[in-house]
Amino acid sequence: MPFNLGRGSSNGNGARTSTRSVALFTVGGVDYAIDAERVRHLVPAGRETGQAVVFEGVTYRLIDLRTLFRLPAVPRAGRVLLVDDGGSRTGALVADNVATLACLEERALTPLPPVFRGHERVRYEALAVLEDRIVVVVAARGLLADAWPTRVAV
Amino acid sequence: MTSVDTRALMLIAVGGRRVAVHGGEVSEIARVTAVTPVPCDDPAILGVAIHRGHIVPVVDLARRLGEAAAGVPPWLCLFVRSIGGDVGVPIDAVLGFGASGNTRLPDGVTFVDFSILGAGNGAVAPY
Repeated sequence: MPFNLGRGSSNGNGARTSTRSVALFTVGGVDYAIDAERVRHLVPAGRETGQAVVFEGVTYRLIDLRTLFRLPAVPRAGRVLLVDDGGSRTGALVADNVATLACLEERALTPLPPVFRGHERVRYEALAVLEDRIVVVVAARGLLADAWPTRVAV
Repeated sequence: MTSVDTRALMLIAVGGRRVAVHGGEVSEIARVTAVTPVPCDDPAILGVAIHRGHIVPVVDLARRLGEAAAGVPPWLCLFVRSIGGDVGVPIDAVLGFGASGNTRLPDGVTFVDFSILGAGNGAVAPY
């Protein structure tokens, strides 16, 4: 399924509004959001070849979010978001479910509280309340960099 | 051992311990019925909750003190103001306020500086 929705929004007069289009997905019962511009495709789980998904000639390294978040594994029946970081790095994010697209108002975003001081500061960029539930907004660049560290020759 | 104005303290029970906090740092005590886990490196961070329209981190003080983890909500939560913003802390009960004008805490009471808990520290100083 091509994923080509939500490239920002306008207020009808051509002026951009302060909203962000995000793709919502769940892992372990928690809602996450990722910038829709970072999502290239959405595919069902099961297309993996080893540690990657190859789609339309592009290799997306597999990132099982349950593993990354240290959650118990479940039978793989979820969805995979094929994403990029805005640069050369790509990843196949294995989620439990992919819900829908949503618009988050910039002013509704809450920076990650300072009490979070570990890797999460790289992986997440903010928190938001969406319809009375809290959504963790993933930082695509940080998540891919964290899950796919640069290999250094030794 | 540092002397404190115990009249400004609130005594609470957390994980089977008696804990003293500065009453001036406490903004509210409220019941928290749901928390959203945020996968992170610190196992003492239980997640975040919506409190009065704001997203507030909830920290397991019992675990920080070496006691059993707080379990699952609902919790009675102490909301405190700290350098890093408000923080919620599940507690067992409020035991009282002040300490009869003494300048020393009763034996077995642990003083917790909540002012820096939200910054990720949470100094714990037994008196």
